[in-house]
Amino acid sequence: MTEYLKAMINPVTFSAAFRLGTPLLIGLSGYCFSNKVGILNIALESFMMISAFFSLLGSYLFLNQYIGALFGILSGIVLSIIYGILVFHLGANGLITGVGFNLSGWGLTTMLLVAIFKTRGAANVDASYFASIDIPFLRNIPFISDVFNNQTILVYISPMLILISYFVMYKTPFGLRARGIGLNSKAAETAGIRVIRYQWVSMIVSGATMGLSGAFISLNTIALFSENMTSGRGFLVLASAMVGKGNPIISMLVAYVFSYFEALTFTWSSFPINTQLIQMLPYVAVLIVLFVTNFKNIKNAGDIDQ
Amino acid sequence: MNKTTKLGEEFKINLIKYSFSLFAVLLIGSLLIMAQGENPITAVSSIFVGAFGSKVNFGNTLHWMAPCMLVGTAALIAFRSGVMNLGLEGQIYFGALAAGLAGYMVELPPIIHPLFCIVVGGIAGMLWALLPAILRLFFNISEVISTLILNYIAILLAELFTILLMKFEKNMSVTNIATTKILDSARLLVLIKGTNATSALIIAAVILVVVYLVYKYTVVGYELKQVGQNLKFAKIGGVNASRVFISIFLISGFIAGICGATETIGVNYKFISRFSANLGWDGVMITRVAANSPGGVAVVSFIWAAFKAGAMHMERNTVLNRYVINLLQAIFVLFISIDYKMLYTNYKERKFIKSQSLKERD
Repeated sequence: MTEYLKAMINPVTFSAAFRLGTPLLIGLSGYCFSNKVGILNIALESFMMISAFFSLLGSYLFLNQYIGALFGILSGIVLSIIYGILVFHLGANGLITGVGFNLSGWGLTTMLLVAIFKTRGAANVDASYFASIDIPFLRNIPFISDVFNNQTILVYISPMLILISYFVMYKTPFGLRARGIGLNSKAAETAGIRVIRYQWVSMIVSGATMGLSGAFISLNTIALFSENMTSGRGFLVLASAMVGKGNPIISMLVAYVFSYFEALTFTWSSFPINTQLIQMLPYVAVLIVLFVTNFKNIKNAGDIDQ
Repeated sequence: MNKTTKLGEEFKINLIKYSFSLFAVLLIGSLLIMAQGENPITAVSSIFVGAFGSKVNFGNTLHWMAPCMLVGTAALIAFRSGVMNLGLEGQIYFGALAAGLAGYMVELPPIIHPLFCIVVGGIAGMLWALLPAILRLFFNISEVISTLILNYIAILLAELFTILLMKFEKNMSVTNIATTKILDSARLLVLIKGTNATSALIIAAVILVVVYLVYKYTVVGYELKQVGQNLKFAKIGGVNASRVFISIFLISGFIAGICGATETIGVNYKFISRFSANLGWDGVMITRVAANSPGGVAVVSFIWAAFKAGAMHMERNTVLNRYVINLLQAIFVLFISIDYKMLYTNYKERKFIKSQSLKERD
């Protein structure tokens, strides 16, 4: 038992949590706006998966990880535009569209994996990837170095993106209006805000950030893509934004809770505990966090308003 | 008189909806297939042969039709009443596991045994569906997010139970995780020799017919429809919305569990981990394409099954892989989900305004 607890406070776990939080944070920095303006987008999973594939493809073709990330961002934007047209202008149901997107994401990536890389399941290709960076001034600080040093650039920019997102949301007119829409979209409309425009902007921003988080999935320290590689991380972004009610900082903290439990998957894997049990941890954490944060609703129990 | 013209309009919109979607998908599909260096006509004919070419091939189509119909019905019940049960995949896994256990742990006479397995599977799926229902009813946690997350947990939990029960080693490869084979008495009746077309199809058909009759002729069915169409109205009309909500969730989970059970006792003869290749999501697509009508679910399930059986044949006989079909099915659903009625009314309104303004000018 003690070795489990020891592993829980091991710097390796925190380092992995910091790293694994990256895709969630990058995604959240854009999706928080969508959450604020009232878009429930379950297609995030497919955004992440498809752009992970195209990031790998871009990096493979040009042997440059930054071009790979650009491919990821562009594919995320394209996907968000398609989603936006379907849901905002063609009257499609957001959830069904999301299901369609997620299945398309699975079909498209597995199909292209076979068609381009001629493999089934996983492709470990000869592409350039984001390598970890050694930061000199962190090197000699005992605990800090183990956790924060030797990560990739994407890991470092993810909290910065959250800060930018927070600044935009709480210190600019754009953010003010977006929050206004979140509080009451009818009132915002009456006050002369074009709700649809804000929805479009946040949609495309979330597409771009999900695209970048896809680049992290396939290009961080190794260039690899495997079938269903995102394994629900898009849904974790959704859940963190839901719990954080679109506040980037709170959502970030929630995302780190999830990524911490994901990190335990690595540090506990050498112990006799079943792999399946550890792999379940981040998902169970989502349920528990949702449960705890919504526990106060029990006084309205049994009242359904859809 | 007025009514007939209205019906005609509805028909026209539906015709536009399905033919446009079909045309768009055929176009995209042809481009995709040609990009991979294959003739679209060869691909389509290969699918057709794979689905209907011989008795065995047709049997395969019928085999796939059963789970498609069951999970389609499960999704139909939920989505028709506006309950977003996206956890069908997890409910299928629990049904499949429970049926697999009931298949070898209990000894029963032939016909009773498979029925017992199916009921046990259904109950397992139902219990797994109870969790998100409770979270929604008591804590107002959206079933969208909870069911999505519970799918991942269900797959891992079913795997874990199997490992613990079978005393497998911890690092067992995922593809080898399976329960003991079920007893012969628990197997479903094979309808066409040499294929997996079993009496599951009959079970699926019976359930679908019952659902159709309930919707068409009973008060319960009317209440279910009301909750989906207009919750406020239903509540004012005296419908107990919470009770309806929870029963929809449970019935939907029960049928999804049956779907998993029939796959176990009719096809694999044991519970295999990760056996369902997104079957639960097929259900959501099927009921969407069928526009939430029971008759439609039967038709669309048949088409879906033909594609599933044909895709394998296509993969063996052309350079294409079967994922092309998965992708095209999902794209088809995206086109179907466009609200053509709204677009049509908007178009007509615009035309009307234009003609009015032209008149005023004259």
